[in-house]
Amino acid sequence: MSDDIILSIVVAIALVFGVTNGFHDTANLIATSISTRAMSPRVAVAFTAVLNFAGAFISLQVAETVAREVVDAGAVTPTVVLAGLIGALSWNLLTWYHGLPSSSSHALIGGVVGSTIAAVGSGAVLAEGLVGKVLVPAVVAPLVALVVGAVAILFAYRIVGALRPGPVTRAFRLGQWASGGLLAIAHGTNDGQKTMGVIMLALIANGTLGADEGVPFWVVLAGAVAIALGTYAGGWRIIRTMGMRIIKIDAAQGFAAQSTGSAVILASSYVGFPLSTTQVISGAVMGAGAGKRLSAVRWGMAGNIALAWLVTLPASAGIGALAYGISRLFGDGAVGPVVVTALAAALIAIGFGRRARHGAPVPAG
Amino acid sequence: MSALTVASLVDADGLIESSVAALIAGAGVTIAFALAVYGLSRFADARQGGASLAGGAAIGLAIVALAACAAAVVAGIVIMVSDRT
Repeated sequence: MSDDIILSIVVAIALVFGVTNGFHDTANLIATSISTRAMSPRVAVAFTAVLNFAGAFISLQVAETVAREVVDAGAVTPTVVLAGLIGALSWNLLTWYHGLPSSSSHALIGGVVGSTIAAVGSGAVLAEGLVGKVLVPAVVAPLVALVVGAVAILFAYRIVGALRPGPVTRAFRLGQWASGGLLAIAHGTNDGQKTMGVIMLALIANGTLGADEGVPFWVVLAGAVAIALGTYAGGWRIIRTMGMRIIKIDAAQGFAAQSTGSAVILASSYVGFPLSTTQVISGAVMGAGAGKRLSAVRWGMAGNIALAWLVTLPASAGIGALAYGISRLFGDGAVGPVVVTALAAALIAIGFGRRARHGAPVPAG
Repeated sequence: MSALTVASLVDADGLIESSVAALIAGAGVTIAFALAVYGLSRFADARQGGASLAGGAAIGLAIVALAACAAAVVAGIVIMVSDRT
């Protein structure tokens, strides 16, 4: 009975995490289309949300990585997964509150690794999966996006540079419906699966699902709904950081950045890398900007964002470990998880209350 | 953890596979779309100037380039949907 209560809380919190993941990442997804005026904010948000939902159904490799290759699912309990989720969720909302682009993926991995280490030690952390499928791709993928974005825009400018700018801009804005749509699908694929993966991890840890069983359809559907809902709710405050402060881009650069971002995310999803889509999109935007003129990129802001990324993993791991520690104070039953969830919810509510009093994020157009 | 240990943990095949695919698809789609824009623009110019042969070549280039873009997107989704073996 107690296990079922904890599992239900884990599933609920995982879905809330999925919503915050979409909420946090909306700005990254739509900033390029909005800043080049390819789409209005309202249309961009709705369009992206629908395609996020669709994207969540096209692959399950990332869910498998999160569920089976980061920590030993047989050694952890649903309480450990819950503490990790609370670490990730808290960090996601903290960075959203301060308008900082962060990585929901790294927050999730960091939270789960932190709570696992606190609960059963580092022996239950699967180094091959953590290093090979999370940490190294986390560094490589944004750099690949940066290089590919720069190469793409260099060739594109060489091809269309001598043409009249008006029709070229209009054509690339039209093309951004396709490239922006593909980016939304890519995001839904990679980030939607993180929610599915962590629910899978909890189901395996609880013994509800066998270690070699596939992802149940209800988990896929729930993950897809969560990411789409979160995207629709939007993270308008971060738009100002991502879309406008890193670089001012034209429609051709927007198209190149979105095509590059979606190619990197889809290719990585195919091999099961749970990437930070924020980092990849930022890398692609910077590459497309640097391909035109290095000085066009505001590297100082890019540095601040990189610093926030670096902090994400240890910070969410710390919160995850702390959440597990608090939960353990109440013993093995459901009381600890309930208390720690209520505590996190109260802190989040206080944060939102303060935000409401001191000014809400930029409202939807 | 030594550098050698970290190196042994890296999924080199996956990294190379995804990086090469990203380069081909990301840059390829952008270049193909730029060629389509170029073809359409030249087609419009040729029509205004009455150059039918140049116009035909330009619209041909635009159609082929747009088809390449569409094919790349469809192939990407189909590959994603299929299981990795």
